Amino acid sequence: MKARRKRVVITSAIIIVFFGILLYTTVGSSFLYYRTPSEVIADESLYGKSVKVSGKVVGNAIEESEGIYKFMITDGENSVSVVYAGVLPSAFKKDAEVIVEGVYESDSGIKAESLLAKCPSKYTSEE
Amino acid sequence: MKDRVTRRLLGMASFIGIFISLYTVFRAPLDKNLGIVQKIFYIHFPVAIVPYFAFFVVFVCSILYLKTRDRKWDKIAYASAEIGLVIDTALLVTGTIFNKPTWGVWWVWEPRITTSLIMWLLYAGYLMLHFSVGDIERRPRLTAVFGIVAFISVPISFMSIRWWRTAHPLIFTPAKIALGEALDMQMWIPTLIFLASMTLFYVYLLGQRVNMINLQEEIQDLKDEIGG
Repeated sequence: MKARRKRVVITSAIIIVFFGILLYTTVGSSFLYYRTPSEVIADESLYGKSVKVSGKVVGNAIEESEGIYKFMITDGENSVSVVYAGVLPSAFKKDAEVIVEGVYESDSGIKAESLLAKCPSKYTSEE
Repeated sequence: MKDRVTRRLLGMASFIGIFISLYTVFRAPLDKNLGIVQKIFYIHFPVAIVPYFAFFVVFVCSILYLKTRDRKWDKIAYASAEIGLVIDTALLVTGTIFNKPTWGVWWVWEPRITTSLIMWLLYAGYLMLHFSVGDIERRPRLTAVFGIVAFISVPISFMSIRWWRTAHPLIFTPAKIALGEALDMQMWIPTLIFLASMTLFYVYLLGQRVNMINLQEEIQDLKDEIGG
């Protein structure tokens, strides 16, 4: 009976630790899934590192040449420039919220390897 | 006999409810930003809430079983976990379908999706535990303990979009609902009707499943009696 109980406790402990690690590694340390442009600009230690940043696409500043897009994302206070070569989701437009992931370079901004559009957190009809 | 009539009525009510829900979904106005794609929300939302509720039932019934040692609670807990997991699978599927046209990808390892997948895995584990313990005397106690521990994933999944930065939108907050900024008035109708019908459907399935377990046990007892 005692050995059996021990086994149950150990098995549950292993399961909980396993899921804890899974959560920790996938969501990332300190639970910051993404940063804001202000946080990225304020932290010089991020140069040359891969970052995830979320912000609004600044209108009228989207440039495109040969499939390479250049634009700025902002959190209302600060903005960072993004260079992205890839397919844009259809929700990508001026003022749309996006999450970009890529290496942050001090001179040219974020070289995004992936781009995710966030959908608006409100549903409303057309008229 | 009375039970049977109740179950029938529940079944009919939930099926009619779901048909009415589908009708109201397509009567509702199109979303300004997402267009027709936003219709997925009307199914995505109830199949998210009902599993939370189903797993809460597992949690409560597991506690009641450990307290009273009445097999009735074990049966309800198991049935609820099974139905909850099936509906939760619909949640992950509709979520994935929703992601592609809106975010541009099928899947991301962001907090809401990750915690919801962990919740799914835990309740799949609950069913596996149920099937792997052959000893019918020991099984209810083990699964009850697991059913209580696994419930921790439910508030984490629910709160993930409130606690952490996620890609998943947060539509319903008390402030936004009070200001009428969560949904358009006409979008509330299908949302609430669908939630109500899906809840009814869950209650109907729960009654059917518990009844089925009882019948299975009755058959087993009869078999044992005649030495089968």
